[in-house]
Amino acid sequence: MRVDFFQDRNSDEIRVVVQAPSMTQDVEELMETIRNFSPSPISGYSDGVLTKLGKDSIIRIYSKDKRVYADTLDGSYLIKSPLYQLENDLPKNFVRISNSEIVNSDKIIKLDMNLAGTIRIYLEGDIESRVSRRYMSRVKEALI
Amino acid sequence: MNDDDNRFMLKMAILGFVMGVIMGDAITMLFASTSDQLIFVSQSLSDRFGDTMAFIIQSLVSGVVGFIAWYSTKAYYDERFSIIAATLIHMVITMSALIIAGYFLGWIGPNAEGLLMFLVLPLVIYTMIWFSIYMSYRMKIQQINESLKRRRSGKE
Repeated sequence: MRVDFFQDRNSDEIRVVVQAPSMTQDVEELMETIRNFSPSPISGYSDGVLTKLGKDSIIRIYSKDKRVYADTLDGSYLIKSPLYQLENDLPKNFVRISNSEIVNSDKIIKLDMNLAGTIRIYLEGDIESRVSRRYMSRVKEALI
Repeated sequence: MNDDDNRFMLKMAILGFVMGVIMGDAITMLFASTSDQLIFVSQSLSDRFGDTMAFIIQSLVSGVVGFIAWYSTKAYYDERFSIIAATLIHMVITMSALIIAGYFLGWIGPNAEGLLMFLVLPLVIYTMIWFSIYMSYRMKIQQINESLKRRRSGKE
């Protein structure tokens, strides 16, 4: 695969053109990865230490007791930005599952529902959470 | 719930009032009428208030029951309640209103048998409502899980 750079001083955004003999699964995956690419990492605090978190490494972002946290496989980080602002900055593979939680759809293992109708979501890192009924359509749209 | 949700619920409840009036009067007519006579209200209500006033009272009370039935669907939009809890809350509120209205309007017979007959149909309907909501979510979850399985096997 060849990667070229063309400078365009008139352009106000980065534009990526994928050139290939035909649309194969590899090309599709490459384009999806580019679409989901998000250059600026999120900064999070763990034990008072500021760490830059790659968006791909984040499993979920949620608010609890008026604070926002991001869970990764390495641990939980305190985030200074509010959830609604993060939602706008996150790539397309992040989906809101309740008023207080956004998950990385690439980290979802499965969903389940008990007889009472409570919908549970199982994520990588043995994380389990609840999906709000009013967000089920959004979750379905994002995953199907 | 935000203000928009509350406004929506109030609109639905007003619609519920209108539906309650139509259904209350129509069902009474259906069950009380005979092949040679159209009857709009129960005999006991008519004896107490006269035909016209009895019909007005029946319409208003039916409307209030409809309002309560629709407004209590709010439980389904409240995320604190599971589907079964929301269905039970709605059932208890609506059935209580319906039983009080039923005794007042003469829809329910004075004995326990009358009350039992009056309760059976709504209970069947509530079970069907809970089951259909439950199954619709189950199907959504199944579709999502199948899609997740495909995505994850593609990654490996």
